[in-house]
Amino acid sequence: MLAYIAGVDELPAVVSRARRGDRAAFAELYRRFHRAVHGVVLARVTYGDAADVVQDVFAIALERLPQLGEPAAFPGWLLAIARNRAIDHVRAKRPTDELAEVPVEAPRSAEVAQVLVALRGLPEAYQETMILRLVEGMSGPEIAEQTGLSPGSVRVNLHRGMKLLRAALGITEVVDDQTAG
Amino acid sequence: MTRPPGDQHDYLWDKSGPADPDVERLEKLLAPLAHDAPLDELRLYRRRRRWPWLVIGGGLVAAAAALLVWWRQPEPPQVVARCTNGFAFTARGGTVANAGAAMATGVLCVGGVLDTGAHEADLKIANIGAAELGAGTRVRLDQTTAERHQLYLERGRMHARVDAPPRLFAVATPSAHVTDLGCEYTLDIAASGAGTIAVQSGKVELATSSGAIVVAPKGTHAHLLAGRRPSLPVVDGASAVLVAAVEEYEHGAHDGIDRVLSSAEERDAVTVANLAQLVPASERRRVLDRLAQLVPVPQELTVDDVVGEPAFWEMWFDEVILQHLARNP
Repeated sequence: MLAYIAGVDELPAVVSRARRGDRAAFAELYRRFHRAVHGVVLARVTYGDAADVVQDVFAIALERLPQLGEPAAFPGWLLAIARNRAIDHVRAKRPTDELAEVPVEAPRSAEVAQVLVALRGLPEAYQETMILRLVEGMSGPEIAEQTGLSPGSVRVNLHRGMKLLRAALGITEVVDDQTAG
Repeated sequence: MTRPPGDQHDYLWDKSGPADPDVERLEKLLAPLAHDAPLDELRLYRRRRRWPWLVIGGGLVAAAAALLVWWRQPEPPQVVARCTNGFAFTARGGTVANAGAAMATGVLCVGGVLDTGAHEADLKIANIGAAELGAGTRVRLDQTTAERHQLYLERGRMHARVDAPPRLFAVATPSAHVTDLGCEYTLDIAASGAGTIAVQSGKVELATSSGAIVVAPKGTHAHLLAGRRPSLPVVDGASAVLVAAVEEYEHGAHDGIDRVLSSAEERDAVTVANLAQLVPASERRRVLDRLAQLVPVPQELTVDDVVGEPAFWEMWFDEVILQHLARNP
């Protein structure tokens, strides 16, 4: 938890160094945010195309970084670029078969594709949060830090999103003894 | 939720405590899809290297075209606004007036005014977005810097789509100040200075110099009242009863607040939440009580907690906006 807080404090300094052309600082921004960008992109783009769009997003970000006024606004700014780039990609490209692209062997690939479709079918407010949690493996506090949402909102999104995902996948929620008591 | 409110462990939230079996199974299933590719330095290099050639090439083409136009132009050249800092525009259907000169394309300089007259125009908002200007639109560029880009829409229609951090782009109008919080919206301003805003994605903040602030998310619209603050935002397709109640409230009816509260349905929570921000302190509690019936206070908090702590109100307001967006995907 301490490292997570320290990471937040350092971000404006890293962004400022990257704006001055420090490539190591930009690589550090990539290291911190590539999963968040991938999650945001994957909410809209097929798995096979998502990695390519992620690289595009960072290339655009590098170009536009001098335009970013407030370094602390970097996370929200970067994810806004990711959303718009993903939307543009979807508009420009015919949909591809996700089943053939997921890096999981059959028969599990069909299940992965089914879950991805269900995740993308969630209301917009929950899609990204759920993908960041379940696909990218980020915790709720990490998601809040990297998306700019309040921790309370992320927590609400996770629980509501999971409830809707269970319903979409036909999973019956098991209430444990603790809850029942 | 699978755990009781008092339980400190919440695996879905922070991976603490016993794992939820469904969550754990989905994590394992989807983990191979997590992103682990390194940064493609070559792509960054290629993209950046393209720029000088594009700029040089584009400059040469533009210079050649300008020379050709000048050589073939029998009349004296038009007065063309020259600036190093501005928004590029392209007219549609004819020419538009930029600093008084008729042009098909050009740059709207800081301090300059673009008047579309009988035609329309596409305006590039720095490198963060674009705006479509309708016929009869008059717009001035007040500022364009790394920190802020601001237009003044005197009259007409502007449809803007912006890809930028919140608050980087703003549009002042005779009646309200529209600050972009990452979104797409359409502004219509009449000659009287009054107008409307309809938000198509994300959300905008509407403010006046007096400090009154209204937040309008996707799928809502609000009136910009000349010489006054913006109206309460109303969801598209709201009931006629609520629309009438909001109008009564905006016109200062003595029972305006009561009428808005009694006619608001669950989908109108955004209207009630904004009302809570505008009413006097003495009226706020009953507005919050009604809001709690539409969108419960999150995190097991109570209205009393919210009244005593502004941070809780922010969290609740966020929750109202989130629920609204979830209902309007």
